[in-house]
Amino acid sequence: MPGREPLTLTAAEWVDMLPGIEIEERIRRAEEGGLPIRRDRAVVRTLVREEPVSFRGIYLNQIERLGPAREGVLELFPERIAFVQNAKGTGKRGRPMPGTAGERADHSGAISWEFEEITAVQPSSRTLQINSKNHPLASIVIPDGSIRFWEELLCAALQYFYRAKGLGEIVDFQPRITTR
Amino acid sequence: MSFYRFSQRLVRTLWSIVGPIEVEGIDRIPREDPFILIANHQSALDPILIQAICPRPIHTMAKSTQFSSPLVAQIMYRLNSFPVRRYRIDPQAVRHALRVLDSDEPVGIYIEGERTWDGRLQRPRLGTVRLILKAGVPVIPCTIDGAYDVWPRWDRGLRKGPIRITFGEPMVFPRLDDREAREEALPEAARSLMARLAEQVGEGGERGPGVGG
Repeated sequence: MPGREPLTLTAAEWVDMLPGIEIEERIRRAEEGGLPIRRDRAVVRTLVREEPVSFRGIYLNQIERLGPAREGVLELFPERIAFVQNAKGTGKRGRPMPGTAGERADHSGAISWEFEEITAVQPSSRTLQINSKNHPLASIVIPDGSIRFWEELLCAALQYFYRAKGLGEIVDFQPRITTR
Repeated sequence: MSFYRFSQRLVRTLWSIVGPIEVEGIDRIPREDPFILIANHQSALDPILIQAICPRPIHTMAKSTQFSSPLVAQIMYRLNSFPVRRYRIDPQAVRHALRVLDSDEPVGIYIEGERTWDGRLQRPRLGTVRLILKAGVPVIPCTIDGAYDVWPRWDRGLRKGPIRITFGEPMVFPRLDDREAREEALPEAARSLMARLAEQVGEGGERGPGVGG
Protein backbone atom coordinates (compact mmCIF):
# COMPACT_ATOMS: atom_id res chain seq x y z
CA MET A 1 0.00 0.00 0.00
CA PRO A 2 1.23 3.53 -0.72
CA GLY A 3 3.22 5.00 2.15
CA ARG A 4 3.83 1.68 3.81
CA GLU A 5 7.08 -0.23 4.02
CA PRO A 6 7.03 -3.36 1.84
CA LEU A 7 6.92 -6.54 3.87
CA THR A 8 9.19 -9.35 2.75
CA LEU A 9 8.52 -12.81 4.14
CA THR A 10 9.17 -16.35 3.02
CA ALA A 11 6.33 -18.31 1.42
CA ALA A 12 6.03 -20.38 4.60
CA GLU A 13 5.67 -17.22 6.70
CA TRP A 14 2.95 -15.91 4.38
CA VAL A 15 1.16 -19.25 4.58
CA ASP A 16 1.26 -19.07 8.38
CA MET A 17 -0.55 -15.72 8.20
CA LEU A 18 -3.46 -17.11 6.18
CA PRO A 19 -6.74 -17.71 8.02
CA GLY A 20 -7.67 -21.33 8.74
CA ILE A 21 -10.23 -23.27 6.71
CA GLU A 22 -12.75 -23.16 9.61
CA ILE A 23 -14.81 -25.95 8.14
CA GLU A 24 -17.44 -25.96 10.89
CA GLU A 25 -18.30 -22.34 10.19
CA ARG A 26 -18.36 -22.95 6.42
CA ILE A 27 -20.69 -25.94 6.89
CA ARG A 28 -22.99 -23.96 9.19
CA ARG A 29 -23.23 -21.09 6.72
CA ALA A 30 -23.82 -23.48 3.82
CA GLU A 31 -26.57 -25.35 5.64
CA GLU A 32 -28.29 -22.13 6.70
CA GLY A 33 -28.29 -20.84 3.16
CA GLY A 34 -29.12 -24.21 1.57
CA LEU A 35 -26.01 -23.86 -0.56
CA PRO A 36 -22.87 -25.90 -1.19
CA ILE A 37 -19.84 -25.18 1.01
CA ARG A 38 -17.95 -24.24 -2.13
CA ARG A 39 -18.74 -24.12 -5.82
CA ASP A 40 -16.30 -23.61 -8.66
CA ARG A 41 -16.04 -24.15 -12.36
CA ALA A 42 -14.15 -27.41 -12.97
CA VAL A 43 -12.80 -29.65 -15.70
CA VAL A 44 -12.97 -33.36 -14.87
CA ARG A 45 -11.34 -36.35 -16.53
CA THR A 46 -11.93 -39.86 -15.27
CA LEU A 47 -9.90 -43.05 -15.52
CA VAL A 48 -10.75 -45.11 -18.57
CA ARG A 49 -8.23 -47.90 -18.02
CA GLU A 50 -4.87 -48.72 -16.49
CA GLU A 51 -2.27 -49.74 -19.02
CA PRO A 52 0.87 -51.84 -18.45
CA VAL A 53 4.12 -50.15 -19.39
CA SER A 54 7.48 -51.77 -20.10
CA PHE A 55 10.87 -50.55 -21.16
CA ARG A 56 13.49 -52.71 -22.87
CA GLY A 57 11.49 -55.81 -22.08
CA ILE A 58 11.12 -55.07 -18.36
CA TYR A 59 7.64 -54.59 -16.99
CA LEU A 60 7.63 -51.39 -14.96
CA ASN A 61 4.07 -50.81 -13.78
CA GLN A 62 0.68 -49.69 -14.94
CA ILE A 63 -0.26 -46.13 -15.71
CA GLU A 64 -3.66 -44.51 -15.89
CA ARG A 65 -5.35 -43.42 -19.10
CA LEU A 66 -7.90 -40.68 -18.61
CA GLY A 67 -10.98 -40.00 -20.70
CA PRO A 68 -11.96 -36.72 -22.36
CA ALA A 69 -12.16 -33.49 -20.37
CA ARG A 70 -15.66 -32.56 -19.28
CA GLU A 71 -16.44 -29.03 -18.18
CA GLY A 72 -18.91 -28.24 -15.46
CA VAL A 73 -19.14 -27.29 -11.83
CA LEU A 74 -17.68 -28.87 -8.73
CA GLU A 75 -19.69 -28.50 -5.54
CA LEU A 76 -18.68 -29.43 -2.03
CA PHE A 77 -21.41 -30.40 0.45
CA PRO A 78 -21.07 -31.54 4.08
CA GLU A 79 -21.36 -35.23 3.13
CA ARG A 80 -20.36 -35.40 -0.54
CA ILE A 81 -18.59 -33.68 -3.38
CA ALA A 82 -20.37 -33.48 -6.72
CA PHE A 83 -19.59 -32.61 -10.32
CA VAL A 84 -22.31 -31.47 -12.70
CA GLN A 85 -21.35 -31.39 -16.33
CA ASN A 86 -22.32 -28.47 -18.54
CA ALA A 87 -24.78 -29.24 -21.28
CA LYS A 88 -22.96 -30.00 -24.53
CA GLY A 89 -21.54 -26.99 -26.27
CA THR A 90 -21.95 -24.68 -23.31
CA GLY A 91 -18.69 -25.33 -21.51
CA LYS A 92 -16.46 -22.56 -22.72
CA ARG A 93 -14.48 -20.67 -20.13
CA GLY A 94 -15.98 -17.39 -19.07
CA ARG A 95 -19.57 -18.57 -19.43
CA PRO A 96 -21.84 -18.66 -16.41
CA MET A 97 -22.01 -21.82 -14.31
CA PRO A 98 -24.79 -24.38 -14.80
CA GLY A 99 -27.83 -23.43 -12.80
CA THR A 100 -27.28 -19.76 -13.41
CA ALA A 101 -28.82 -17.70 -16.19
CA GLY A 102 -27.53 -18.65 -19.59
CA GLU A 103 -26.07 -22.04 -18.70
CA ARG A 104 -27.66 -25.48 -18.62
CA ALA A 105 -26.58 -28.45 -16.55
CA ASP A 106 -26.37 -31.96 -18.01
CA HIS A 107 -27.23 -34.28 -15.11
CA SER A 108 -26.43 -37.39 -17.15
CA GLY A 109 -22.77 -36.41 -16.76
CA ALA A 110 -23.02 -35.86 -13.01
CA ILE A 111 -20.77 -37.59 -10.48
CA SER A 112 -21.43 -37.60 -6.76
CA TRP A 113 -18.70 -38.84 -4.46
CA GLU A 114 -20.25 -39.69 -1.10
CA PHE A 115 -17.64 -39.12 1.60
CA GLU A 116 -17.89 -42.69 2.90
CA GLU A 117 -16.93 -43.98 -0.55
CA ILE A 118 -13.88 -41.77 -1.11
CA THR A 119 -10.66 -43.78 -0.74
CA ALA A 120 -7.99 -41.18 -1.59
CA VAL A 121 -7.57 -37.44 -2.09
CA GLN A 122 -4.40 -35.90 -3.38
CA PRO A 123 -3.05 -33.07 -5.51
CA SER A 124 -1.15 -34.07 -8.62
CA SER A 125 0.57 -31.24 -10.47
CA ARG A 126 -2.29 -28.82 -11.21
CA THR A 127 -5.08 -31.30 -10.58
CA LEU A 128 -6.94 -32.67 -7.62
CA GLN A 129 -7.35 -36.44 -7.74
CA ILE A 130 -10.20 -38.25 -6.05
CA ASN A 131 -10.42 -42.01 -5.92
CA SER A 132 -13.47 -43.81 -4.62
CA LYS A 133 -15.06 -47.22 -4.30
CA ASN A 134 -17.88 -46.54 -6.73
CA HIS A 135 -16.32 -44.23 -9.31
CA PRO A 136 -13.13 -44.38 -11.32
CA LEU A 137 -10.23 -42.10 -10.42
CA ALA A 138 -11.12 -38.50 -11.20
CA SER A 139 -8.60 -35.84 -12.11
CA ILE A 140 -10.00 -32.36 -11.54
CA VAL A 141 -8.76 -28.97 -12.68
CA ILE A 142 -10.20 -25.77 -11.19
CA PRO A 143 -9.51 -23.21 -13.93
CA ASP A 144 -10.41 -20.17 -11.82
CA GLY A 145 -9.33 -21.40 -8.40
CA SER A 146 -6.68 -23.12 -6.36
CA ILE A 147 -6.23 -26.88 -6.25
CA ARG A 148 -4.38 -26.47 -2.97
CA PHE A 149 -7.36 -24.69 -1.44
CA TRP A 150 -9.81 -27.30 -2.74
CA GLU A 151 -7.61 -30.10 -1.38
CA GLU A 152 -7.49 -28.47 2.06
CA LEU A 153 -11.21 -27.79 2.02
CA LEU A 154 -12.14 -31.32 0.95
CA CYS A 155 -9.75 -32.92 3.45
CA ALA A 156 -11.14 -30.72 6.25
CA ALA A 157 -14.72 -31.63 5.29
CA LEU A 158 -13.82 -35.33 5.18
CA GLN A 159 -12.12 -35.08 8.56
CA TYR A 160 -15.17 -33.34 10.02
CA PHE A 161 -17.49 -35.95 8.51
CA TYR A 162 -15.42 -38.88 9.85
CA ARG A 163 -15.37 -37.36 13.35
CA ALA A 164 -19.09 -36.60 13.31
CA LYS A 165 -19.93 -40.14 12.19
CA GLY A 166 -17.54 -41.74 14.70
CA LEU A 167 -15.44 -43.24 11.90
CA GLY A 168 -12.16 -42.17 13.52
CA GLU A 169 -9.49 -39.58 12.96
CA ILE A 170 -8.12 -39.52 9.41
CA VAL A 171 -4.33 -39.75 9.47
CA ASP A 172 -3.69 -40.30 5.74
CA PHE A 173 -5.53 -39.10 2.66
CA GLN A 174 -3.33 -40.91 0.16
CA PRO A 175 -2.63 -43.48 -1.21
CA ARG A 176 -5.74 -44.39 0.73
CA ILE A 177 -7.70 -42.80 3.52
CA THR A 178 -6.78 -44.43 6.80
CA THR A 179 -7.94 -43.64 10.30
CA ARG A 180 -6.83 -44.32 13.84
CA MET B 1 27.22 -42.05 -24.78
CA SER B 2 23.88 -43.08 -23.28
CA PHE B 3 20.87 -40.75 -23.32
CA TYR B 4 21.18 -40.50 -19.54
CA ARG B 5 24.82 -39.32 -19.67
CA PHE B 6 24.04 -36.97 -22.57
CA SER B 7 21.18 -35.45 -20.54
CA GLN B 8 23.44 -35.00 -17.53
CA ARG B 9 25.93 -33.00 -19.60
CA LEU B 10 23.19 -31.00 -21.29
CA VAL B 11 21.56 -30.01 -18.00
CA ARG B 12 24.86 -29.07 -16.39
CA THR B 13 25.77 -26.89 -19.38
CA LEU B 14 22.39 -25.19 -19.70
CA TRP B 15 21.97 -24.69 -15.96
CA SER B 16 25.12 -22.58 -15.78
CA ILE B 17 23.02 -19.84 -17.44
CA VAL B 18 20.32 -19.95 -14.75
CA GLY B 19 22.50 -19.95 -11.69
CA PRO B 20 25.24 -21.66 -9.73
CA ILE B 21 24.85 -25.10 -8.19
CA GLU B 22 26.86 -25.80 -5.08
CA VAL B 23 27.38 -29.50 -4.45
CA GLU B 24 28.52 -31.07 -1.22
CA GLY B 25 29.26 -34.68 -0.30
CA ILE B 26 29.45 -36.15 -3.78
CA ASP B 27 32.18 -38.47 -2.49
CA ARG B 28 29.55 -40.05 -0.21
CA ILE B 29 27.82 -41.69 -3.15
CA PRO B 30 28.74 -45.40 -3.18
CA ARG B 31 30.70 -46.22 -6.32
CA GLU B 32 29.39 -49.72 -6.91
CA ASP B 33 26.92 -50.90 -4.30
CA PRO B 34 23.18 -50.32 -4.39
CA PHE B 35 21.68 -47.54 -2.31
CA ILE B 36 18.47 -45.59 -1.91
CA LEU B 37 18.76 -41.86 -2.43
CA ILE B 38 16.14 -40.10 -0.34
CA ALA B 39 15.53 -36.46 -1.24
CA ASN B 40 13.32 -33.57 -0.26
CA HIS B 41 11.11 -32.15 -3.02
CA GLN B 42 11.12 -28.39 -3.50
CA SER B 43 10.52 -28.08 -7.20
CA ALA B 44 10.01 -29.89 -10.50
CA LEU B 45 13.69 -29.15 -11.05
CA ASP B 46 14.83 -31.49 -8.28
CA PRO B 47 14.99 -34.76 -10.24
CA ILE B 48 16.56 -33.02 -13.23
CA LEU B 49 19.33 -31.42 -11.17
CA ILE B 50 19.98 -34.28 -8.76
CA GLN B 51 20.22 -36.77 -11.61
CA ALA B 52 22.48 -34.38 -13.52
CA ILE B 53 24.83 -34.09 -10.56
CA CYS B 54 24.81 -37.59 -9.06
CA PRO B 55 27.65 -39.61 -10.61
CA ARG B 56 25.68 -42.90 -10.49
CA PRO B 57 22.64 -43.18 -12.78
CA ILE B 58 19.63 -43.30 -10.45
CA HIS B 59 16.34 -45.08 -11.06
CA THR B 60 13.83 -42.54 -9.85
CA MET B 61 10.29 -43.26 -8.76
CA ALA B 62 7.95 -40.78 -10.48
CA LYS B 63 4.19 -40.30 -10.39
CA SER B 64 2.38 -42.25 -13.07
CA THR B 65 0.70 -39.18 -14.58
CA GLN B 66 4.10 -38.06 -15.85
CA PHE B 67 4.10 -41.03 -18.21
CA SER B 68 0.80 -40.17 -19.91
CA SER B 69 2.37 -38.49 -22.92
CA PRO B 70 4.14 -41.12 -25.08
CA LEU B 71 7.01 -38.75 -25.89
CA VAL B 72 7.60 -37.71 -22.27
CA ALA B 73 7.27 -41.35 -21.21
CA GLN B 74 10.04 -42.38 -23.60
CA ILE B 75 12.29 -39.66 -22.15
CA MET B 76 11.38 -40.71 -18.61
CA TYR B 77 12.20 -44.38 -19.31
CA ARG B 78 15.57 -43.41 -20.78
CA LEU B 79 16.27 -41.37 -17.65
CA ASN B 80 15.62 -44.53 -15.59
CA SER B 81 12.33 -43.29 -14.16
CA PHE B 82 9.61 -45.75 -13.27
CA PRO B 83 5.98 -44.98 -12.45
CA VAL B 84 4.16 -45.17 -9.16
CA ARG B 85 0.39 -44.79 -8.88
CA ARG B 86 -0.15 -42.49 -5.94
CA TYR B 87 -3.92 -42.77 -5.76
CA ARG B 88 -3.76 -46.34 -4.51
CA ILE B 89 -1.42 -48.75 -2.76
CA ASP B 90 1.01 -49.73 -5.49
CA PRO B 91 3.05 -52.87 -4.71
CA GLN B 92 4.45 -53.06 -8.25
CA ALA B 93 6.40 -49.82 -7.75
CA VAL B 94 7.98 -51.36 -4.63
CA ARG B 95 8.70 -54.64 -6.47
CA HIS B 96 10.43 -52.75 -9.27
CA ALA B 97 12.50 -50.69 -6.82
CA LEU B 98 13.64 -53.86 -5.03
CA ARG B 99 14.51 -55.47 -8.37
CA VAL B 100 16.66 -52.47 -9.30
CA LEU B 101 18.45 -52.64 -5.94
CA ASP B 102 18.98 -56.39 -6.40
CA SER B 103 20.83 -55.60 -9.60
CA ASP B 104 23.17 -53.34 -7.57
CA GLU B 105 21.79 -50.10 -8.95
CA PRO B 106 20.54 -47.09 -6.96
CA VAL B 107 16.94 -46.00 -6.52
CA GLY B 108 15.88 -42.40 -5.91
CA ILE B 109 12.69 -41.49 -4.04
CA TYR B 110 11.24 -38.17 -2.96
CA ILE B 111 10.18 -39.14 0.52
CA GLU B 112 7.53 -36.43 0.92
CA GLY B 113 5.68 -37.86 -2.09
CA GLU B 114 5.01 -34.48 -3.68
CA ARG B 115 6.49 -31.03 -4.09
CA THR B 116 6.20 -28.64 -1.18
CA TRP B 117 3.72 -25.79 -1.55
CA ASP B 118 5.43 -23.39 0.86
CA GLY B 119 9.10 -24.40 0.81
CA ARG B 120 9.00 -26.33 4.07
CA LEU B 121 9.74 -30.02 4.47
CA GLN B 122 6.57 -32.10 4.61
CA ARG B 123 5.80 -35.32 6.40
CA PRO B 124 7.41 -38.49 5.01
CA ARG B 125 5.46 -41.10 3.06
CA LEU B 126 5.60 -44.17 5.23
CA GLY B 127 5.51 -46.50 2.21
CA THR B 128 8.97 -45.21 1.31
CA VAL B 129 10.24 -45.88 4.82
CA ARG B 130 8.79 -49.41 4.64
CA LEU B 131 10.70 -49.94 1.39
CA ILE B 132 13.93 -48.76 3.04
CA LEU B 133 13.44 -51.20 5.92
CA LYS B 134 12.65 -54.02 3.50
CA ALA B 135 15.63 -53.32 1.25
CA GLY B 136 18.30 -52.95 3.96
CA VAL B 137 20.68 -51.04 1.69
CA PRO B 138 22.43 -47.77 2.67
CA VAL B 139 20.36 -44.62 2.40
CA ILE B 140 21.92 -41.44 1.06
CA PRO B 141 19.99 -38.44 2.45
CA CYS B 142 20.06 -35.84 -0.30
CA THR B 143 18.77 -32.32 0.08
CA ILE B 144 18.20 -29.67 -2.50
CA ASP B 145 17.93 -26.10 -1.28
CA GLY B 146 17.10 -23.00 -3.32
CA ALA B 147 15.09 -24.86 -5.98
CA TYR B 148 11.88 -23.62 -4.36
CA ASP B 149 12.98 -20.01 -4.86
CA VAL B 150 13.93 -20.72 -8.46
CA TRP B 151 10.72 -22.51 -9.42
CA PRO B 152 8.05 -23.04 -6.76
CA ARG B 153 5.17 -25.37 -7.44
CA TRP B 154 2.64 -22.59 -7.73
CA ASP B 155 4.58 -20.52 -10.29
CA ARG B 156 4.90 -21.00 -14.01
CA GLY B 157 8.25 -19.36 -14.64
CA LEU B 158 11.85 -19.87 -13.60
CA ARG B 159 13.85 -17.28 -11.70
CA LYS B 160 17.60 -17.14 -11.47
CA GLY B 161 19.11 -18.21 -8.21
CA PRO B 162 21.66 -20.38 -6.46
CA ILE B 163 20.93 -24.01 -5.65
CA ARG B 164 22.70 -26.20 -3.18
CA ILE B 165 22.64 -30.01 -3.37
CA THR B 166 23.95 -31.94 -0.39
CA PHE B 167 24.58 -35.67 -0.29
CA GLY B 168 24.71 -36.60 3.38
CA GLU B 169 26.55 -39.35 5.20
CA PRO B 170 24.96 -42.71 4.41
CA MET B 171 22.38 -43.94 6.90
CA VAL B 172 22.09 -47.63 7.62
CA PHE B 173 18.83 -49.30 8.55
CA PRO B 174 18.60 -53.02 9.25
CA ARG B 175 16.87 -55.19 6.67
CA LEU B 176 13.64 -56.34 8.28
CA ASP B 177 11.88 -59.15 6.45
CA ASP B 178 9.29 -59.57 9.16
CA ARG B 179 6.33 -57.27 8.61
CA GLU B 180 5.66 -56.73 12.32
CA ALA B 181 9.29 -55.82 12.95
CA ARG B 182 9.14 -53.33 10.05
CA GLU B 183 6.01 -51.70 11.41
CA GLU B 184 7.61 -51.42 14.84
CA ALA B 185 10.75 -49.81 13.42
CA LEU B 186 8.80 -47.50 11.13
CA PRO B 187 8.22 -44.41 13.33
CA GLU B 188 11.82 -44.12 14.49
CA ALA B 189 13.21 -44.71 10.99
CA ALA B 190 10.87 -42.05 9.59
CA ARG B 191 11.80 -39.62 12.35
CA SER B 192 15.55 -40.09 11.90
CA LEU B 193 15.36 -39.76 8.10
CA MET B 194 13.39 -36.53 8.27
CA ALA B 195 15.59 -35.18 11.06
CA ARG B 196 18.61 -35.73 8.84
CA LEU B 197 16.99 -34.01 5.85
CA ALA B 198 15.90 -31.12 8.08
CA GLU B 199 19.40 -30.78 9.46
CA GLN B 200 20.95 -30.79 5.98
CA VAL B 201 18.52 -28.24 4.62
CA GLY B 202 18.86 -26.10 7.73
CA GLU B 203 15.26 -26.44 8.86
CA GLY B 204 14.20 -27.13 12.42
CA GLY B 205 10.98 -28.51 13.84
CA GLU B 206 9.19 -31.82 13.95
CA ARG B 207 7.76 -33.32 10.79
CA GLY B 208 5.15 -35.47 12.48
CA PRO B 209 4.87 -39.20 12.36
CA GLY B 210 4.51 -39.51 8.62
CA VAL B 211 1.73 -40.46 6.29
CA GLY B 212 0.84 -43.68 4.55
CA GLY B 213 1.82 -45.01 1.19
